Amino acid sequence: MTHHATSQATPTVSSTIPGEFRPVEQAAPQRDGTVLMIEAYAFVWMILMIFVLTGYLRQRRLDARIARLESAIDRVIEREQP
Amino acid sequence: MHVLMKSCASARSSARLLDIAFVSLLTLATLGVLITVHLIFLRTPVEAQMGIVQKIFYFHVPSAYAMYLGATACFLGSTAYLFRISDRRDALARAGAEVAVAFGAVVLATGPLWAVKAWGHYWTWEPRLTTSLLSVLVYVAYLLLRSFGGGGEGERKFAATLGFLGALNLPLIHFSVRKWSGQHPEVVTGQGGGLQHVDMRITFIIAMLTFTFLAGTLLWFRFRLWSTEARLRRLEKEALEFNVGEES
Repeated sequence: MTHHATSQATPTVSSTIPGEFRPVEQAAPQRDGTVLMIEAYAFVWMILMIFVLTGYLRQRRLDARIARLESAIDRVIEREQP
Repeated sequence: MHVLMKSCASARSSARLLDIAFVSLLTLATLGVLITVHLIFLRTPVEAQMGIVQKIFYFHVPSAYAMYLGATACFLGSTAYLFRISDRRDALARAGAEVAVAFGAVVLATGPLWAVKAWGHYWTWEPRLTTSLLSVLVYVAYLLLRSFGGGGEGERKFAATLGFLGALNLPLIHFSVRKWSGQHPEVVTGQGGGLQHVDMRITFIIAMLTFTFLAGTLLWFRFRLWSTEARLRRLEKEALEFNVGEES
């Protein structure tokens, strides 16, 4: 028990404390392939969804403007008819 | 009166047929996407050397092909427009450029994610990558011109010329690897042995078909959008003659 307490109190000094940082030689740091694939897949659908959504919103805006103009022209034609 | 009613009825029925064709294409594209995703993630084997990251190939290459389809549509619309001015031809060219940029963005996003694993870096100025980037930038320039050019006839003709000349880079992308021997793999068309497993080949073929339907659907969708805008412009001119606005 006494021996255990003494060993806990004594700080251990490791002989492998790094004194320098060296890069991996002849190899680039590797990224996880699964994460890369998920990122690529997410990019595909994000880009296509943005493309579809912007088109859909613009189409709705144009349709609404056309409907307003057509009804305005129709009203004028009706007024001018005897 | 009878003739007018008949022509109105035939226009309505052809519009209905077009709607049915569009919905059919959309359905095919949606089904294709579901099947492709299933095949890529649940059926196709993992590649021996590269591991799971090789699966990017199944949507990277079809996206490049879809970019070609969009660029071809832009080229056809632009060339036809230069021969005879028409709103529909202009709409086709613009829709094609948009599809080319959307799928080009997919190619430029997915390619580097594969490259960082395979080559150890995201980007290198090798021939196929450089010519692909150049092509996407041409169509980005086309769209910027269309957005900020003012909408006049001069802008449309200039854009049509850009759409025509921009297509000249497309064969360069394809043959750049053979001509300048870059790093880019040539699994599909080269001598490298191609896809070694039958499931890899099936997935690739289905993915190519799916992206064809997807590009067709998006092209049609944007073509309708720009045709509607042309119709709005004509209607605005008509409204000016009646001296009415949208709020009248």
